[in-house]
Amino acid sequence: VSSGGSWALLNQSWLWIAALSAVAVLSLTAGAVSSLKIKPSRKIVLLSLRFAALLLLAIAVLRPAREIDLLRTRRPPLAVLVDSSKSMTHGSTPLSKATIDWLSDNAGRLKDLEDFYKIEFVELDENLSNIEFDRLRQFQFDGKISPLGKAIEDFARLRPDCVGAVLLSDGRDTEQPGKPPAAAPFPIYPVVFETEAVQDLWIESIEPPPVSFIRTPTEIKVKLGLSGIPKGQAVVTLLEGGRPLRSETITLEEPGGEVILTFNPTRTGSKAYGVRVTPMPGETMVENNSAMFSLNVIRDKTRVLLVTGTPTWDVKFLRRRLRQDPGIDLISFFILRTPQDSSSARQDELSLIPFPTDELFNAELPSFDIVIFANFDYGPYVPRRYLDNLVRFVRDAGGGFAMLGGDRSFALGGYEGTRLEEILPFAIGGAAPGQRYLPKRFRPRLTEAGAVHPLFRWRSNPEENRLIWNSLPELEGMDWILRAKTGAVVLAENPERRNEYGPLPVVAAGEYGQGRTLAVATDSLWHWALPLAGQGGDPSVYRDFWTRALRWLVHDPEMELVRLSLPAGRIRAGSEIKFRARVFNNSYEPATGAKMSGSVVLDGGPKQALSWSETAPGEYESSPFKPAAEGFMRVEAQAELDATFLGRDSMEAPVEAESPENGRLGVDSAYLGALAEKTGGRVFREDKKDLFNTLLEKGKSEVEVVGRRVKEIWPASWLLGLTIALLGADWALRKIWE
Amino acid sequence: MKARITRRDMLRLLIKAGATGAAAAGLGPLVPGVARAYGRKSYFTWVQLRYGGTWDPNPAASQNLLAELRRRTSVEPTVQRKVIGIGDEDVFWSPFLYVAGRRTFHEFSAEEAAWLRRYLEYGGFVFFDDATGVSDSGFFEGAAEVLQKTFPGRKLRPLPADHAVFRSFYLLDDAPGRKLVKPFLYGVDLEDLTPAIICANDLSGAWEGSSLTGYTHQCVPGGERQREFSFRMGINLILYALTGNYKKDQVHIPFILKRRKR
Repeated sequence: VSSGGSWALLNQSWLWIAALSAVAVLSLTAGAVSSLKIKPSRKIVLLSLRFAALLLLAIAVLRPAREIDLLRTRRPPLAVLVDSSKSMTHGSTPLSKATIDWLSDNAGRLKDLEDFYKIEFVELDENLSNIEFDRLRQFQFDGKISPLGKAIEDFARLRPDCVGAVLLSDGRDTEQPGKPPAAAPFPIYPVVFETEAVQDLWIESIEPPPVSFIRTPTEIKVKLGLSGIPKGQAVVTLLEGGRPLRSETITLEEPGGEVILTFNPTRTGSKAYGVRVTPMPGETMVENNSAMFSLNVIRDKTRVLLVTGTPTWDVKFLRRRLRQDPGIDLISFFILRTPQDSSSARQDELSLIPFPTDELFNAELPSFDIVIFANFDYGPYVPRRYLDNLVRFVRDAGGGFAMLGGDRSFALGGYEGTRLEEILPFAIGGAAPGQRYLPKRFRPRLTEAGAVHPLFRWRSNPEENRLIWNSLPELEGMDWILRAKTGAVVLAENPERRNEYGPLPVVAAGEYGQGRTLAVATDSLWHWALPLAGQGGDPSVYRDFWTRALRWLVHDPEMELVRLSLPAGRIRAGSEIKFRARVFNNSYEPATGAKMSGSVVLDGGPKQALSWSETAPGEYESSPFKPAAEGFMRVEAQAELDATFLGRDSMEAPVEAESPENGRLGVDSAYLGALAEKTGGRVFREDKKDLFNTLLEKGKSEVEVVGRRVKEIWPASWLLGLTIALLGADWALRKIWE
Repeated sequence: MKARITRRDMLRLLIKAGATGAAAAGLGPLVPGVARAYGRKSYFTWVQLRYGGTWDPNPAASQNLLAELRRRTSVEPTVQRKVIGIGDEDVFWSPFLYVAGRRTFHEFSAEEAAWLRRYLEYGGFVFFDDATGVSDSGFFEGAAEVLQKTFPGRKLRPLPADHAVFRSFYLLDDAPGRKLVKPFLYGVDLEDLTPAIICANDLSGAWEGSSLTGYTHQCVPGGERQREFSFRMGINLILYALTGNYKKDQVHIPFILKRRKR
């Protein structure tokens, strides 16, 4: 294509112009002088001939020419992106039909655009694929997910020269709901179809914090969408493992609303939660009224409440140990004066403060991770009803509780028959009053369970560990303990004192509900600190014991020898997944050759056993598992090494529906608008023709100059010949008329 | 060394043996050492260092202080004090060590300093009580030198008024004893604790004697009021050794500040 053009002189030399001017002046002057005797009418003819000759000479020398631009249309790629997801088929006037109809109705206009663009029809799916226009009628809208944002970003990478895209979609991105793509270097023109509003209430999105801290209020923001239903109320419930945690009632009207559910996580690790919304009358679909999410719960500092019946050396060393650990936030209370003591001073001369019973055992109790009663007789200070709070703290909130011995603890502390006795790993009755405290020194014996328990695993080498144990100083004084309860693990016992159940247990650990409890029936563990240092032993034993005890009480994952992990990303029904486990031996080294077992349960259904194979030293991978449906998945794994039980771990995760396409119905105009604005495009209504006008205008501007052609009007030889002929005629006539 | 039987001990024995109920009720609060029940154990033992010279200037003082400790607080002290020598490994079974003197103090060898360092580093507490009653005495200087040798590079410093030892039970502003030579206590810090404290005011001099026969020494310049505060200081020292600086926990501070402002 050529276009326009302009005039120009090919010879623009000033010398030639000056020479031509001189010739013209001389020639015209000479002509005028030599024709003085000729009649004026003939003189005009002669001068005209000479002038014409000079003009032709000038043209021949200066070579005027016309310059013409040579143009070319680029025909850059223009995409028509068709969302093939199943959500396009919902409703009485599905978008899938509207899309096909629109493409058919505008086939001619699309054809016109081909003069300016290479038009490419692309299916927006997990895998981008081209569509043949002629086969659009048979096109299937059956995509299981709608990764709109990701698909557009992928397309932009594949076609960096693309100049625009017409988007035919409902704007429902199932993989990044509510988020337009990060970048698209070309304008996107979404076409919005007029469809009948779908009657539906759905969970638009759930926004948990990136991480949450245990026993700290955690806010879960739930956004709800409402369409085609009049204003009404709905109850939003937060679920943990199917158990309701918190409910809020919300009044909703189009386009929806949001509610914040606050709760305190009770366990660390990755946990699955659910949100359920009560259906509203006339809803098209109720499957989208529930959704799941996972929350990563971590620990900031371990908050310990230490309550002491009287100042003792045991508590002095325990408090010193706790204060030395920067990971522990300690609140400690000592009963420094009993009701029988007389201080001989006014109240304002004492530094004693009232024992804040209600704050500690009611209002603030949930904020602690561990409560320690050290030789503390609760009777004069704590109303019995608050012991129930401690039981709930351990059983329901997953808190840790430890009771340390002394002459004001266990049975002597009045705990026999109380609610608190329920959570202790010891049964504490069965001794005459004079026998409830045994003041003698004794050397405790480590039980078989104690030798492999994390609390007493001071050294990696079992033999070295045993030598340390044997070198420990004697303990002094212990509470009479009847026996360990079923399920509790006795870690150390007094071999010198027995009852009908065997040697008296000294240290025992137990689980109660979601929490853990520890009982130490002596107040002389401090002998493992200063007296051990005095006899040249390693006083880090005392520090290590308490470090391990506190971490065990709060379910610290790093204390576990078996650590499960789930596959990254979302887990969907129907997709095959494998679990991984890292296993360590008692020395916390990768355990090679461990015997693994485990199972997975979906929504309380039947257990499916997993088999495991070792992929690297200490790293194991399970057999594949394909969840059949959405729900809460709980997986467990346990390991043995050389016929010794190492440990177990469990995790929960939400399994999402095979296809999230039922999640939200109708067109998300806000998403499409944001997408157009972000990319410099514009939203068009389906019935407007200005989309094609816009694209045509844009297409016409997409031409480029590829070259320039120069065309001289007359050839110089012809002009020179004609000049000579005119001059010859001038000479001949002059001779005749003179 | 065998402890001297005091009149108070005798009374205690009489009460324990079943003397009249009226006498027991009337004297009970002042009488130390009565076990409350079978199996009741003691939480605190007064351990005193014997180093030669005037190591025991006020032999009955600890008995009186421990009686007051039992009467006023929830701590259960043993009746008898325990005496140990320098380098004795038994000290590691008692995290409280009392050192007193009326003239000079024993010069520690390197081994003895290491013994004391190990004791203090692993949780022991030592209290030096200068019974001379004069400023910068030979005992005070000797104790300071021992601490310098035990913890080279750490300074002996006057303890500030908000130190936990001044609020571990009573709210106190100074540390008066038989005399008031220096109102401050001096100490060496280790981590966030002060495991070694020196008092220049002869605290035990104020405790020596009995309420029945009269105290041995007069307290100057404050008289009996000063004696009461010396007992309070002694109790605070023991509770500081037992509880550390727990009074500095955030939860306690508002209460203490409020009372200080009155």
